[in-house]
Amino acid sequence: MTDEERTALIHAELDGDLGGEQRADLARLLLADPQVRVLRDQLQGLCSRLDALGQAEPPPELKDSILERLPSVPIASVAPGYRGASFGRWRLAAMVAGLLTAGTIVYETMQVPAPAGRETAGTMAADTLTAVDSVALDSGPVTGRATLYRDKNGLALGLEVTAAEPVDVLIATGSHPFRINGLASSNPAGSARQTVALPGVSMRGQPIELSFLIGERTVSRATLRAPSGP
Amino acid sequence: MKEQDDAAVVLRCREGDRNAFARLVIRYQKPVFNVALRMLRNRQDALDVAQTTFLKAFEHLGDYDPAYRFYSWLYRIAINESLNALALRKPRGELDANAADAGPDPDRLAEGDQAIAALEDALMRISPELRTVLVLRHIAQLSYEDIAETLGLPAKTVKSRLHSARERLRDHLLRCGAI
Repeated sequence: MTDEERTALIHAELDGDLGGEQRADLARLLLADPQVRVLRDQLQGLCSRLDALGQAEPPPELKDSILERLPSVPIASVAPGYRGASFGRWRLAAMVAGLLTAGTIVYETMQVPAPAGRETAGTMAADTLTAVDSVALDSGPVTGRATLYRDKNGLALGLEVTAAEPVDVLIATGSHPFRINGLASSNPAGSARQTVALPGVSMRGQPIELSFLIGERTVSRATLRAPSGP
Repeated sequence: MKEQDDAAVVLRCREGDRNAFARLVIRYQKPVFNVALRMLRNRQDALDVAQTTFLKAFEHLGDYDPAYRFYSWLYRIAINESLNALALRKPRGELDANAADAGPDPDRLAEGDQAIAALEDALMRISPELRTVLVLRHIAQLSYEDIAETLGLPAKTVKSRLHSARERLRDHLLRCGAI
């Protein structure tokens, strides 16, 4: 029996998942091998400690804070979308979201061809978008390309995405989190091109982490790097 | 029984009964909060996630498929929100964001508290993917099948991840002398 099989037997015992024959196999192993006994005892202790981790009580006001923030319209007519709420910091998040919306409107370029990628950096006129980093999305349910641009106003993110379902994009820049909802949902072909401003993101060489979500599940990640200077 | 009751309550929610939704909040606020707390190890973040989870659930109740267990759907939202919150934290080397904020000085903790702190610390040192299955199994007390439904994974994959997660956790605890 391999180490892996021995360990699988122990886990099966911990989960109450052992059949009669397996139980006998494990009993024989435990008798024969002190190392297996040690491993079993350690894992058993670990599971007991995990199970016993205290169930923390949420504050009594949690329920009220949720119920107070429920949309007032009937459930069936509430449009899907991200509606975070506030325990203090969410107020700040709302302000950031407002800024993002304003930036998005400015940079919305659904019909404007974007530069092809990294090779275009430095070849564009000063008043146009210049690609500074680009990454292909070539695995998983979201494919396409994410490109970081700069122009005289700052940085912008270009997304050319194809997906069978609407895609949300989380953009973590180290200082400002952004979120784009429902990308690729309006086009029957499941593809979309969008460029959004990244207001407040500085050019200090920091990574810009992209998480692509379908149905709130992260299906793909990509990283772009901001330029280290203007 | 609980599942049937959930289905009935969800149906009333869909018909516009806000009191019915309050009943779901009362029933699940504690487990959802605890799942988020163990995923994030930060009480304020866990409160935010719990709150967002219920608001999203309310908004998307129309999309909920009653063929699945309601709590699996709810935990799925809570896990995704927790993962989003983790993704938005600033990276701190190999540790998750709060692993370095392990809590009070170990010398000042009673032995039992030290063991709990060591376990919480080890939990934050394994990948969120592995932590997710541990939290759903040992904190939410879900079965393999429930976890598989929650995460949209085959039960075999859940089992394999759970085993890996326990072993990684054990390795961390051995390294810090907590086993």
